[in-house]
Amino acid sequence: MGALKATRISGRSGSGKTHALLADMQAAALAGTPRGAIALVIPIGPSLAELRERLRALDARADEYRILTFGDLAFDILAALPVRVVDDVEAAGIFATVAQAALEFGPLDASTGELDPEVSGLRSPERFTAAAFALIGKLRAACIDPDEFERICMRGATTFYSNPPNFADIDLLLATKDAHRGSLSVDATELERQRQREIDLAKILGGLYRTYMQHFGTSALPQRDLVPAALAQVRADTGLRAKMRSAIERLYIDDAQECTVAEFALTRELIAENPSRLWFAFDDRLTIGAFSGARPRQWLELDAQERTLEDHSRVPAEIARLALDFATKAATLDPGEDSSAVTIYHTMEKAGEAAYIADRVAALIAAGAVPESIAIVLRTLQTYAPYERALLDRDVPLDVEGDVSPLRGVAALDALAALWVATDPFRHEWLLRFLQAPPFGFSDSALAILSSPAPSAQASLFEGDPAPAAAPRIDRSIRLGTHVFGGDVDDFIPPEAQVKLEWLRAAAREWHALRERVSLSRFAERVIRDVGFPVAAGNAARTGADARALARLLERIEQYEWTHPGARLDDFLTHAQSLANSEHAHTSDDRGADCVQLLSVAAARGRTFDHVFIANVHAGAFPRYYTPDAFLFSPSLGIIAKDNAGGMHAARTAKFTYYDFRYKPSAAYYEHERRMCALAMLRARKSLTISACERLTRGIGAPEFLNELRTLRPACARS
Amino acid sequence: MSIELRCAADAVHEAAAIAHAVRTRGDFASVALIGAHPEAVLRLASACADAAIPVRGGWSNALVAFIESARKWIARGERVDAQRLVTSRFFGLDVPSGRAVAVAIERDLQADLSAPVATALAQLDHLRASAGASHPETLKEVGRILRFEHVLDEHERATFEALYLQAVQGNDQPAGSTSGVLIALLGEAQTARPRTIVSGLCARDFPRFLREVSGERALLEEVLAHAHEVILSYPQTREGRSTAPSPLLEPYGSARAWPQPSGAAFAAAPRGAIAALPVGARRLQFSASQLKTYDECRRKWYYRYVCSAVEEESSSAATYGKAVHFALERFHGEVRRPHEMDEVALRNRLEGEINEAFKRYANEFGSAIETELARRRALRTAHKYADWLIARARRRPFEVVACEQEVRLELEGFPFVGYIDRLDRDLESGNVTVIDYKTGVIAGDARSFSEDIANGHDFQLPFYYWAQRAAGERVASLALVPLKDELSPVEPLELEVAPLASQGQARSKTGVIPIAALERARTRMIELCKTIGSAQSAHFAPAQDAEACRYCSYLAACRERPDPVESRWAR
Repeated sequence: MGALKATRISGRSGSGKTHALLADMQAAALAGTPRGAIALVIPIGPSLAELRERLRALDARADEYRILTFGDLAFDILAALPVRVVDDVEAAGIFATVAQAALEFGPLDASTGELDPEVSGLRSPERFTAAAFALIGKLRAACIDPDEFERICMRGATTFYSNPPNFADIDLLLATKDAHRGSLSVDATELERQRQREIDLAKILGGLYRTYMQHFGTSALPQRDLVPAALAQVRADTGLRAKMRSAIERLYIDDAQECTVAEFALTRELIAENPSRLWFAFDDRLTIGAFSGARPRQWLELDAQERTLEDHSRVPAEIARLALDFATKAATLDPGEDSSAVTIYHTMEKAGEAAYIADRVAALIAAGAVPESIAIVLRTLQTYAPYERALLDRDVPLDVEGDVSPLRGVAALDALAALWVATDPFRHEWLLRFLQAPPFGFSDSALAILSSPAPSAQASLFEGDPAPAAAPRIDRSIRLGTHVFGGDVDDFIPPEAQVKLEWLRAAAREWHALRERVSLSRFAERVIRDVGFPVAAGNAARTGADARALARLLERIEQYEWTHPGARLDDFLTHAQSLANSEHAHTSDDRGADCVQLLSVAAARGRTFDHVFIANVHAGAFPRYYTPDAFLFSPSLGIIAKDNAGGMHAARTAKFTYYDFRYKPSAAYYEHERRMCALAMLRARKSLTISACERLTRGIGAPEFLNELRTLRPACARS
Repeated sequence: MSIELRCAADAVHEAAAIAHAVRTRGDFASVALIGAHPEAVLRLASACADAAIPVRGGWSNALVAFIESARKWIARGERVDAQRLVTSRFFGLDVPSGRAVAVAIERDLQADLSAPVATALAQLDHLRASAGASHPETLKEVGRILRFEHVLDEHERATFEALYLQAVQGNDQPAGSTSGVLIALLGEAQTARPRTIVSGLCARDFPRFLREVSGERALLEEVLAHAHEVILSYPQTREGRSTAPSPLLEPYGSARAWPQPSGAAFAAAPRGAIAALPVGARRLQFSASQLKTYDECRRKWYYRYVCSAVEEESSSAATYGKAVHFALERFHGEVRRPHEMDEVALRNRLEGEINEAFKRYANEFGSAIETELARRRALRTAHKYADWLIARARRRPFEVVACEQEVRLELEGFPFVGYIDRLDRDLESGNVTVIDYKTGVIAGDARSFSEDIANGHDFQLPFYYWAQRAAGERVASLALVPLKDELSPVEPLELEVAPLASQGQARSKTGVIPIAALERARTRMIELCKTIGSAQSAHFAPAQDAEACRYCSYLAACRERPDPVESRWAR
């Protein structure tokens, strides 16, 4: 029966699981399986290009295999359907709008009296809908539909409130902070009130989930929902199912532990009754997607024959040992003899940490290291700016990939300002920026004159002359734009500023004429070029970074133009503002040669580098402090409201305080962060530097990883 | 034949310069524009469209460009969505058919390289069928650049097949687009125009094909032999990175820079510095909040009080504050002596004013739900406020002598204006207490509050103090009344004004503010007024602490702001 089993390839990170998959793929091809019928699918996508390159080393015809993410696979499955895919930034924005409408006017209208809107989190509707959007994404990935969600919530409420735990339990009281102990002092009346609030919250969330499904089911499909949608399609369409099964003779899954329930279910649909067509690489010790829906356990329940790899060939033993000790919080330590591969660095200033890393990187390159073999890894790229600046100051070119807006940085914002000016000259915040940016470079005094009311004309010198007309009073909401484009105060600004404004007026006339004739992206490209972007910026690396920022902007505009036929530039610019503020934003620079890689941990997954710097490793940054949304969802307890909305005595609900004690979500979160840090360490092939700045804590609010690492390897500590 | 070598700062300027050169010449039919790789073709096409130069194109160039782009994207692991975009861009097809073609071609690229020519021809047929009768017009609109004009009519020609083979098939590596274009050029050489411009000839496009340079050079020379005038051009940078000229260009000497496009192609924006002169406040009337803004971030002060060009958006929190202030003003307009009023009546009155105020401000909240939840919160807070008010009045009877009172004061000639939320007079001593309502975050204890004043970070209550002193009042204390938290009792931070300092207790809600500290605050206010009024600054630097930027309305305008605050919280 072994022939009908799937094959699970397990082993620690760096043990060669991916290589084993690729080698097996090549062997299958040599044995006669068409390469196009061999698919390697991964749950997260940053390593696709690297996977293909690695396969190319084994098989010159690597391009013929199908190497893709689950999202790509789902897209192929849905290819025949008239569905428009929207990215998650836009989907979140759309959902915020439709959710708001549903809450105000739709089935959730609070004024009907059926539902009390005073539920946890709804006092800040934007954050509430953002949290609902995140929850719905997880429910979709877990294949839980709105009805099932509400059923679980009702069951959870009944189970909990019909037989509440002992809130006077001494362990519970001791584990609860002073500020929240009051939440455990509840009588039956208060518990019943909290139950009602919870049920209303569940109904509101269930209603929003239905609204989500109705909206995105008909007009657009969020990118994150591709797999659940494809799964539903495969299950519903027998012809499609048969076609997909016959198209993929051998299916390989890398990093299977990161798969969601929907991805796992789709895999099962594709291998059908013959699991022997499936090979998957698996290591649940370093799962990093648990908080976004990864469920490693499901793969262990699959009947599979095991291949265990032991070799740590890729990662130096010293680094592998440190990662293991750190991940397992090992008490007994054997740091070994050699401590040259690991440096643990601490300083008090962020600029000092960034300078240290940049100096080290520059020295490595000067000593012959290939730039793309060096990576700076951060927990999140929200904090990338000081590191980028320090590297660019040293003329080190960078590629960036991770959770940060592609429209970030001064160059991109200056370009957006130029586009706003070409579109709407009365968006004064952008006009101010544009006029300050090169090549205009207006001084504060020139801007002050342009922003001020036009001075009155000179009083008449001679009696009897008609009084000069007073300068018309212009409302401040249009004054700056009027003065810039109307010339009312040109006489009062320096001559060199006048020349520039005359140029701008001429350019604006050109742009106005051009706007209706060319596409949105072409128009944007023209404006940016006319203005003279990118401006030379000191050194080649910085100029290159600015040029890439502009290229990313234009690429975004092209994509927007494609997905929004008939859209105007101000539509895109409004979208760009959402993108800049969105937690779903993602940047992926072209992985050019000769560039050091600045990555988030998630983007570093599946890639290795000679020299890895993990920066900003201190409590509050890596890991950040855990603070749950206004509500949590548990398959056993249903919805758990955090805020005791409408309560008069305690800020938190009793159920939340109990859940926090019983299930310890913050501890789970910090363990997840620990795995992420260990995973980042295992990206290093030769050297590893872990650094932090600011005063390190005692690790009470959140673990202080750098202190732990210094304790594990005191010989590696530097400051 | 004359051959000229030109270079441009980057690919965009190169294309613009070429288009400008062509436009200057005018006789478009005599010019052949050749992109050495697909991106160069697109740049030329874009530049020609901008310069209103009519161009003709053909399938094969578009197909090459598409396939090359698709290859790149597939290699990067990008979404097929992007490929759909390319399909549309190059073929001008509607969404469904464009997407179907993109998906089909992607599969060809990945799965079946054994019969690319047949597949290509099938795709062409498919494209024709997809576009229907309007096909040629669609192409014409989308067609980007001339060459291979006859492919559509004679797609069986060897030139087309050669092109496709080169672009798609290759050997073990993806074939170089340059090879493809040049080989195709060879096939078209007989029709080459008198004047030919080849752009994009930088070395970066050749790394894999250096071994083939000699062969390509022969091809290029053969192509160029058919033109009377030839310009070979390359960009010196691509995506900000330096590029060397192609080895193919070595025989042609050194390059001259393209002139900057001008005239119809539009001149570059003028550069150079603008004289920076000192700037002062527009109106010399000050307020405590203006000085606080100046103290926190001079750039923000400049935008707000000098430029005054941006309407600052109101937030729900600000509207909540306005509504609560309005309700309490109305309430104390009637309830001047709380100790004389029936408790139930007092509470009912306050509740009524809260309800009225939230009705008045309902439209300024984001939604009806927000308004309703804010109203409920305010009612609960009002309940706590009433508890405090009643207890305070019972403890020491007082009279509310003013609400929202406008106060004006001149400090060494600098005029100030402000509004005191409430002024209470103690009925025994006749002293007054200045009260300020706070619906946002305030200092945690009286000692921190006192230090904020003493260190010159808070000017509001010192200003009220000096204004009341100037009006002849004896000010006994200054109080901040917290109205943010509906669950906690209202416990004001209250500072008794005293001649001498005393060390207050940590975490205590009451403390002492020495008169010397209030005098220091006044001195600091005057210093700041002098700085602002003297117009000494030519540039207003932003705050170094990014906390000041958190809710700033001028984030877009500010080019010098510090790095954003790290979010220390994860959800």
